[in-house]
Amino acid sequence: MPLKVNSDEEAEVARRFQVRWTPKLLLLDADGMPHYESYGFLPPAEFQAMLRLARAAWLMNGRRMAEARQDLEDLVVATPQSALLPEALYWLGVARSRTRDREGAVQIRAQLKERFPGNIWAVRLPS
Amino acid sequence: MTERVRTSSEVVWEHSLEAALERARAESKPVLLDFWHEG
Repeated sequence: MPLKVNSDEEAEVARRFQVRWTPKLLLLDADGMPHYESYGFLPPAEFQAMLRLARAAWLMNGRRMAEARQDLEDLVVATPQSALLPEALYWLGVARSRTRDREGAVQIRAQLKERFPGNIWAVRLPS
Repeated sequence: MTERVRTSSEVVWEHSLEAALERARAESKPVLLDFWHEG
């Protein structure tokens, strides 16, 4: 459900979600709990990738791990040049692990380290 | 009152957090908040 919030006119909502900079996008669950945030402008393709990543985060936090995994698998295939790919690979590793695909998790983590060795998402991987 | 704007892409933007959360609960979907300001 998309909602535009003018942070000047709706200061209470902005304060509730600690909005200091705009544009800021937040994905909430139906209880108003944030699950993903993004700052700044993104070109259309990256914006779409970000939305898909945000949805995967919402699914994972809602323990809908199999659905999240499928979304992330599809995202990684569909956006091989995305700047968000390292983050997507990281979470795909988590999703594979949580869906009992240990070998698949190891494989995706190795791919992340090999393709993006200096990227923060590769740095975050357990050694 | 909630204003609903139907764009050509058929995205229905809510104008109230409460309405968006209520709709999210009804449809089991998340809410996307797009914070902006003028200037």
